[in-house]
Amino acid sequence: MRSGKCFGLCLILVVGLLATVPALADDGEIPALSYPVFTTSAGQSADIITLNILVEEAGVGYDYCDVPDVEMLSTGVGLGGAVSGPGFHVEYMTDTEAYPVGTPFGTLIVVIGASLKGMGASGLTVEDEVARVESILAYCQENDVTVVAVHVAGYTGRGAPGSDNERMIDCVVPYADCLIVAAEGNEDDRFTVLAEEQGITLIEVEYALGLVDVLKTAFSVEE
Amino acid sequence: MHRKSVYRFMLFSLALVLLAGSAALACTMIPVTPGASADGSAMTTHTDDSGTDTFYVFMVPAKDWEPGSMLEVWKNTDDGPYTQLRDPLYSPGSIPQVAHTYAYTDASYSFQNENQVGMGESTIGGARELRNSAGWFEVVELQRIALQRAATAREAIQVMGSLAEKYGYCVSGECITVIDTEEVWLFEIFGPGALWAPGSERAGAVWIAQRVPDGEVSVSANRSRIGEIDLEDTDHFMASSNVYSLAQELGMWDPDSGVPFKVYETYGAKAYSPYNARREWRVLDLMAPSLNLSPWMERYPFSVKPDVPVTVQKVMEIERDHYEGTEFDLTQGLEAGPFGTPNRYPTSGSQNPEGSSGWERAISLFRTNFSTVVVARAGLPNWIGGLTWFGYDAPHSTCYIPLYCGATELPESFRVGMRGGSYDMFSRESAWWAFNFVSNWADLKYCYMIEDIKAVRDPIEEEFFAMQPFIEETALALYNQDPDLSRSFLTTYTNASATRVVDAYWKLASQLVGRYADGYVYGDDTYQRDSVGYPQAWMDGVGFGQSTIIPESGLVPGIDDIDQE
Repeated sequence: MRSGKCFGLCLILVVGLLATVPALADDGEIPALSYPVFTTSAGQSADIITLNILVEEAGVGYDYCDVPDVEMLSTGVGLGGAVSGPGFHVEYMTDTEAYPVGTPFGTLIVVIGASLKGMGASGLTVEDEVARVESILAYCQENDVTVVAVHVAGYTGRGAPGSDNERMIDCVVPYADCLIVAAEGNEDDRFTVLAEEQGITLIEVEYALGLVDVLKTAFSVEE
Repeated sequence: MHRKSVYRFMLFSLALVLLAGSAALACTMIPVTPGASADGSAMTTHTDDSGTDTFYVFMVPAKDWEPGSMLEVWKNTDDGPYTQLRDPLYSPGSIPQVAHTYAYTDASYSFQNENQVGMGESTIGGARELRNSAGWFEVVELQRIALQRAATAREAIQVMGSLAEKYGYCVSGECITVIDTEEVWLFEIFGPGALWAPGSERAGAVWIAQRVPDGEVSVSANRSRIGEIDLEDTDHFMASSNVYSLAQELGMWDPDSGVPFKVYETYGAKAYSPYNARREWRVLDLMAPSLNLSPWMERYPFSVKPDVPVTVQKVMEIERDHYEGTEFDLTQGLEAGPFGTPNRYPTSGSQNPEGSSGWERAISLFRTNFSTVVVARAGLPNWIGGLTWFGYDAPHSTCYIPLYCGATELPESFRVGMRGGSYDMFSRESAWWAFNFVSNWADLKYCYMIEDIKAVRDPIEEEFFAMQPFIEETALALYNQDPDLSRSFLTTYTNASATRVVDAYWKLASQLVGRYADGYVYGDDTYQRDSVGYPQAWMDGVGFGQSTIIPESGLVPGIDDIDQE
């Protein structure tokens, strides 16, 4: 796993990478993020698949679960041996040579996107999902796990005030240490305002694909 | 294989297993080739089963465009006005306009142009990792632009495919049937996956088109139908240049595995569900009963030769089907209620018994927005040969109206009205509401009211078919004198037919309200009010009267007075 091999920063490389990331907007700089990484969804939309593909493309190993709870998350890498089943999916892509099973997670990347179909497949209502997401984000906050909130669905993945998507944004952002959003989904500056209010970094990428370079930088991935 | 693609292939396979039974999409299409039809027509049906789409239908005229003109691309155009309150129209940008655009019929899913190029649509979902919201095009916009630009089915496919490749495709997998007077195709399109962005060198979509062999019929019912492909057989296959490479890159297919590439096992992968397969079976079985197809086959042939040549009336009959007469008959059993309604309203997937996909999914659905039989006929001028039999709302309760593609306008009632929400949207100015109201009211006493509906509908449709040769003979005579006169005639006939049917349905709506009220049936002829009660079988099934049988233990002694201090 490439992500494991590059652990330990090379300052020159970071500077070089920063200079070659045109997809990055100037809104803010991504804070250095630490391994191991856990990915999940707030709202169970298909955007989690996009996120995982982009994280993988960035060369960042990760563990994934669509509907984790605090107990599972607290077991660290390997998620306590959880296995996929109906309405429950896990994926293990962490380099366990560098980060053995049980290593506490350093970063949680959560993609925001509500899908009634997705929640239904997991047997969740919107209220269930909000409560579940808030509980794992609170755990992260209490245990110094950096929370990166991502929105890549663009304009069509937003929705009117009060919509499920907006509820997920309101649920996740208060716990986020950093926001990464595709520009089309921030045309109304909703995320800009939220980031300013919370004093957190907002990274605006033109398209979801821009997330790859952002993550390479944040995790100091060697090209 | 691409790095980690073996692992992804495993995950992909696992995801298919886990996704079993989660399908919940809509729309059915029945494409019929000229060699399979009774009169040499190419046909495709479409039921727009969204339940949320706009019901506006209107004719868009042909137009010449100045060099340098641009065409604004739109998203959410299929949404109804109420849905657009939540998801407003949105334009990601503009593309170069062509010098001339053809006239066409615009709708949520636009369906025919003046060259007799016709279309139907069915959402087929497919692999979720193909979705990329940065794409500019939804399928409805691709259809619209293809009808504006295409003179043949092949051209329409190339327009849709090339635009999607260049600007990106942003919604889930879709199947479009595309017909002209000679050919009938299924065009399946999917997104490019997460590793695409506008302007990148990669293709913004992957698509495959397979022609239905002449003499055969096919079906599409919310899952991919294209299996193996042979791109050297250009008479029957077309595809985007990335058709194999993207599947390899995403770990969906390994050419070294020895497993042949199949669209429905890669981009269109979806776990088996009767939600899809039952309708495929029903269409093919009704077309070719001699094949004795099992209703429980995992996969059905791409196309079959019908036992007898197919007529427009036959495909209308299939569009109105609820598996009547089969073990899946939705008009039978306790679940059909006392009056045999075929309608089964949506339930949550979590309510399904284990291993079940819930209710049987009929071809004719209560929430159908509109349905069509789009017809293209060689040997006639396009304006006369191109004809769409159009019906608002559920096929079983609608009346199909002939809309000639040469018509230049439709009644105003076809482009007004909206539905949904908590404020007053029911409107007698809107044609759609007439059909929707009749269909909903009929659900109160379906087995009675469907007969009232047939009594109004069938004579009108029969008359349309009886008059058709004479209408077209007249139109052709006028065409030979002056094509514009022919067009004016077809416009008048189309509008008169539409208005006649809409008026008949508003009258029918009033009749049904008067005739069926408070559980009684009021007879027009007898001047009597019948208390029809409930069928005995249904009463026995629900335990009629059991709660009012005095217990064997007898009654508890009464009390004359009680102290309630």
